[in-house]
Amino acid sequence: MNSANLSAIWITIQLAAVTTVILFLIGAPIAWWLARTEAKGKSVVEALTTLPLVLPPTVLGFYFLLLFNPHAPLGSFFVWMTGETLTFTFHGLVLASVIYSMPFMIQPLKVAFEQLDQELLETAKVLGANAWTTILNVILPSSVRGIITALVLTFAHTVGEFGVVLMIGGNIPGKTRVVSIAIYENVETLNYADAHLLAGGLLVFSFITLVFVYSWNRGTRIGLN
Amino acid sequence: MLRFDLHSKRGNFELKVQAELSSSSATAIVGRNGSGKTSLLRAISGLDQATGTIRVNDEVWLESCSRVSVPTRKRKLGYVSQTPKLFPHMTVARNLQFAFQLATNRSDKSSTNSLSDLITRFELESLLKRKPTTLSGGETSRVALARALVSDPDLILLDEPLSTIDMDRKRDLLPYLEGILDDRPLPMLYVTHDFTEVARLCTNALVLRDGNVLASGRVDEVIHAISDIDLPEQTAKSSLINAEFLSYDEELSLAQFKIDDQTMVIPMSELPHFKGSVPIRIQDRDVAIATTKPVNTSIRNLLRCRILGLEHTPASPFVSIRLKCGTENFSATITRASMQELGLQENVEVYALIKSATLEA
Repeated sequence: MNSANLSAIWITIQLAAVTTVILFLIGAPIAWWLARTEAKGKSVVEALTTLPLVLPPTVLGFYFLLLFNPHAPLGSFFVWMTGETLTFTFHGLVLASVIYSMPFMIQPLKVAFEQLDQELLETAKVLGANAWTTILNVILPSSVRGIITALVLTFAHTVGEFGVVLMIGGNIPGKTRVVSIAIYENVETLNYADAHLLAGGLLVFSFITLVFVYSWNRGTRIGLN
Repeated sequence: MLRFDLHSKRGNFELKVQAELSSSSATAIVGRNGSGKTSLLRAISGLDQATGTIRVNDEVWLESCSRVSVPTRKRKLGYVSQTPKLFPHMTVARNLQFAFQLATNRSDKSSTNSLSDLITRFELESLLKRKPTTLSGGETSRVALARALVSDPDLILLDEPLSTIDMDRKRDLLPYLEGILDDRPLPMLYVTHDFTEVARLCTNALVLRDGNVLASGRVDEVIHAISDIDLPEQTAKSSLINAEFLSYDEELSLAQFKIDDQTMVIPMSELPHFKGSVPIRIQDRDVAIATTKPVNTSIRNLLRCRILGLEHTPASPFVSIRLKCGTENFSATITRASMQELGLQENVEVYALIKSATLEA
């Protein structure tokens, strides 16, 4: 395998890993809120966080492009903060992936938190646990299935993204060229051998991931079916 | 000491309860489903919002007028709910250790019960490495009780902790609860449907109806101060009398008791381990009345009594008769027809034929 393909794989892994970590930190509180609240705005927030699941990636990509533009408020703010643009950079890819993969983090977490036994939380309270202790010792361990599912699905989904990356990330080797783009490139240039290698690799990876998720969740809902 | 004056509202249900309980005894909370028993415990623990005051010993847990409300996690209490919840991802040992860590974090002084003592007392050695899902109902209750006591609480709230366990196992568990109270007297509120538990553990009872206190006081006084309506559906009306154990006849397997100057026998398969005065339960429907001493009867227990009073509701075919035998009172339920035929009225001397009585020890 040539170094361009290897670097595409490496960037893909980095992107998926960073996205998964950030999305867990953002997604867990949102999922918790969605699982517990009866607030009026719940449906709106739920719809917003699920939107990326139904929208064509080009729609998201188009709006990201507008938002990330160095002359737009968000884009210029980022330039002012970091000196780099959001478009055509790894940061931009991460930000876009966080939005794009959001439902895959939030839905399984929400289901896990909904299934959490309220009495366990009360028991922890009565025993004297504060919020942080309860999160670490009761909530996270009890929701471990949902959490692993959410992490794996988010990672896999980010690995598989194409349209959004194409629209905002461009195709800069070693910077923003991920595996899915590299496959596209290879096919365009009739380099079928490399295309096979990457496409086959992605196919096997995705298949193994899903087998893992479904066997891990045998008998429990994962929130995506 | 526990003193509370609470008011809370959830949906259509309103709880308004006031009581003062001594620090060294258990109080039974009795009442029908929906009378507010669990709501009361939840309000005291702070799991449900309530207004009013709660004082435990010298500490104020709630004082709405001065906006004091100690959060649940800072109230030193042990709470075992109807379906005791152990943390499923932790072993039994870890469940106890977790409670121990939290307890030491909560109190500045090292006022915790030693884990090894609790493990011995509740006989948990063999369970320590097991996960909660592999435990039976009785084992789960034992672990939950031990865990609730780790922090050496100032107040114990038990919401039918034995309700998920079958009768025989219950009998095995009661001694653990009695042990708790013997060793360290502390206020305990005990919600239960089971009068065996009430009689053995509690000196006082608080009867609730529709979120209000209907009666409170000593168990034996309270039980008859209330009508059947306020007793749980599954509880038959009964009385407790105190009798002195006299002797045991091994050949006939009968234990003999003394009430005033009369005797009573109760079949027992083995030599009883108690001595002195013991509580005996007599169900109202197991008592028949005769105006002269019956002869040639299979009933062993005939007590000479005086009628204290008769009580009946117009529509009911039954009459409840209060009887006095020496210093002990109990009741009989007979038909109104029998009452008229025998000409029963207050102060008449009669014989109570007791078909069966059970020991509460």
